[in-house]
Amino acid sequence: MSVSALFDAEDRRRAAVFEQDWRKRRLAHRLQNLGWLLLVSALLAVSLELSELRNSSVGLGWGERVATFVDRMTPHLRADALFASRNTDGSLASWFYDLPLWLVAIRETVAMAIVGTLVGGVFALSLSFLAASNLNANRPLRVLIRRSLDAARTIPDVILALIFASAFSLGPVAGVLTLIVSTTGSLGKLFSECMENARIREVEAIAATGGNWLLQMRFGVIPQLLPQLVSYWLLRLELNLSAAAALGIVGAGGIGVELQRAISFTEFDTYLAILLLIIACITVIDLVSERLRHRLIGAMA
Amino acid sequence: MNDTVALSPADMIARARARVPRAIDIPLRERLQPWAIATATFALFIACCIDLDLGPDVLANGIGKLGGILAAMWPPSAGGQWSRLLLAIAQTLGLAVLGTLLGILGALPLGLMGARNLVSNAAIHFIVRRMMDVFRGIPALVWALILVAACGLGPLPGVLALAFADIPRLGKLFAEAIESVDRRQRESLQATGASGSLVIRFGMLPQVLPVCLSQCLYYLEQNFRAAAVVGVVGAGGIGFELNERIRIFAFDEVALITILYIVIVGLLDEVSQRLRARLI
Amino acid sequence: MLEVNGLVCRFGDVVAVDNARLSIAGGEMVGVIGRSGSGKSSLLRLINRLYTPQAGSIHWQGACVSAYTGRDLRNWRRRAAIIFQDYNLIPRLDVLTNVLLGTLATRPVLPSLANYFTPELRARAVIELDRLGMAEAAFKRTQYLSGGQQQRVAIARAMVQDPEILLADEPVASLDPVNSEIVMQSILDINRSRGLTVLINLHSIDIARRYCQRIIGMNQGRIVFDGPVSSLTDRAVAAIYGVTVDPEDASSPERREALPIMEPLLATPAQKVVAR
Repeated sequence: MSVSALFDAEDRRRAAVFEQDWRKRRLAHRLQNLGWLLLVSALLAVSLELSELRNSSVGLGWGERVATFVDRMTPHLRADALFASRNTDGSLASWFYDLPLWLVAIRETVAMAIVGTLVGGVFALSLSFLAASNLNANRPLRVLIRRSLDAARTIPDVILALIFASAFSLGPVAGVLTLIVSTTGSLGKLFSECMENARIREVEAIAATGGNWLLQMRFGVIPQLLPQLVSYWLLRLELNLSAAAALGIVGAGGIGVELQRAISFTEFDTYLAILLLIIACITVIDLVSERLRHRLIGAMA
Repeated sequence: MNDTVALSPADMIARARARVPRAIDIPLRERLQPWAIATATFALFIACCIDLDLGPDVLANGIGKLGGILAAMWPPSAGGQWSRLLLAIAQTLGLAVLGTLLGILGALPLGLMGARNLVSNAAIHFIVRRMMDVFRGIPALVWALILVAACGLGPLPGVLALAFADIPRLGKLFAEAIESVDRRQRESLQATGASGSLVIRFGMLPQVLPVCLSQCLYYLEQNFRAAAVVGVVGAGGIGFELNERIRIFAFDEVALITILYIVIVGLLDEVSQRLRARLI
Repeated sequence: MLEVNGLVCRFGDVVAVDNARLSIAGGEMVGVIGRSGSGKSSLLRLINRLYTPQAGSIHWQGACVSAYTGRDLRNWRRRAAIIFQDYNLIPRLDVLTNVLLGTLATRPVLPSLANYFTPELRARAVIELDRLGMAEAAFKRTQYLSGGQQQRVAIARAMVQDPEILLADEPVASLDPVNSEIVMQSILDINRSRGLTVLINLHSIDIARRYCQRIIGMNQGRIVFDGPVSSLTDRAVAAIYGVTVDPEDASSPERREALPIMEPLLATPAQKVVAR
């Protein structure tokens, strides 16, 4: 007996109706996908046009150019002179010729990140209570704080650094202030989102014993959210370290200043050396903060 | 009636001490710990401030000048260059789109190689993940600086810098998204006898795609900000315009560009967040 | 003496408490019964002033509690201690600290913010815990305790507030029968030994009958019954729970079978009522 013999006319009619419906749906789905594809392509075309990438005078000699550049960026180390003094060509010491100065600059970058994250974190925490809709019933104040936090997050940090540099002169102070503002913005948003998800029961319990608003926040909110808040804060510390390194490029202090200097003297191999230092530093901080996070979350109440 | 109130404080303490000694005589270590942490943090803060020459006098002096700058920002002015400013903003957004796209293209193979459930070779997996961890910390501006030196001024180093910064971060996220795929869906397809590529198409892609798309959109949002930053070192767009005006103290124009930029990026964020909410 | 007059509380279109009027003498143990959503929880929160009434007044010892604001309000909340169905403890803090949180309203804010409590207060907390059999757990985090233990910690927290009235919002609804007994017995002891007025929401008429002298019944925000336990007839219960029972049929066995939800409630033996 063939399979088709199992179906009668009614089954076939139903199948046909289903088939028609399914085709309609498939067509709609495909049209939708096509629409998205067209939209993204148009966006890309406009972007390409606007960015003037087509007209860039890269032109001929691409491979040659890259090769030269890579060659100038790699240090010319010699195996026999690797551990020789700074004055010997091809030694590690001559590659990292200004190491003590760079280490001081890195310390400065780390100090910038620490101060920026500490102060920004304190600001963010204080403001986030007021920005959370479940903890602050005063709507105008809440909206004002939220919008300010959004603005602080959106202004590119380098632009902020340039503005602060015109007021505080070039140097780490401008960098620290920039980090404080951007940290307040980004942590403030994250913290207030955390708080909006907080259980209100515990806040209510403190209110019911007669505790004032400060005490409600201190005992009703902080203990339950502490692990999350601390993780976000430590994550921000890591991000601020790389941000602090970058800010130096526009003159806001720290190791970035040395990067900028290496470029302006076209010492591309020095640039690589400093970059390696930065990467090492970020990796160390990464490991330390990972440990700290686990310990703190375990220990804190 | 209420006998706890009737007890004298000394009696109460004696009774409680007999019952739970640690509640009354808290060990010294436990009592000092919070103070020690607070003092250490504060000392670190002060040490850093000293290292940075960040004192009250410096702040007071600068805040006066900052007030002057803020006053100079009002009223915001376009300096009669509306079309140029809008074009610069559009350029920056274009930079962000292209940089993100390039970053996604670069991150895809790395993400696939870094996923343990796709690549069984432990060495490849380890190396790829380590490399991504190492390069994750390098901000776009640092890439931009060296790339401008390498390929000259213009949008190309900007696009490349954004892409280079995104590749390790997105790659890691892709790899994690792939690794968190529900095994059972894969296995149910394997059980129907589907070939390897079909298992990936129907058993993994439907789970991975929305997560990855949502992350791509998030990075696009971030790149709208980063694109302005790379402009400062010579990649054009809004960053270049702002840098120029800050250097000549044209703060009224700086204010206008910044406000315009915040509003546009805010709107784009809103759109992207809606899209992301629909994806997941 | 607690006096509530014409109390109204609305949330949007929903009337939680509608024109409630009641008067409770000092030292009474009063049970409030009613379906979930009948407004009993709101009534307690209004008395403690966690909610603010839209109309009506609450008087305690002749003073108008419903007009309090600021420091007076916080002090009133301390005097009208409340315990909750879900205990509302801070899970990451230890038992002793949770109990000490009951003292917040009576002391300066700064030491409290630094989590510092005087030896005297700590001794007080230990003694209150000890009376409830919880002294051993003083340094455990509350998140690791069983429900019955958590509720006893919550009672200890209420006791260090030196309350003048104890409000209990379904204190045993989340507990198993054994723990319910322990917690109810603790509350009864407090009512008897300290002469503390207790107003307690209960989901089980059985428990209300056994522990309370007086019952208040609520239905759709209104107080529909108020009287001694002995006057809580099957008909009264049916009215409180909004089930119409034909007076003639109410006690007939067939009728009881037709009302399966009411079965355990109606079947409570009268001799179980604690005579006082």
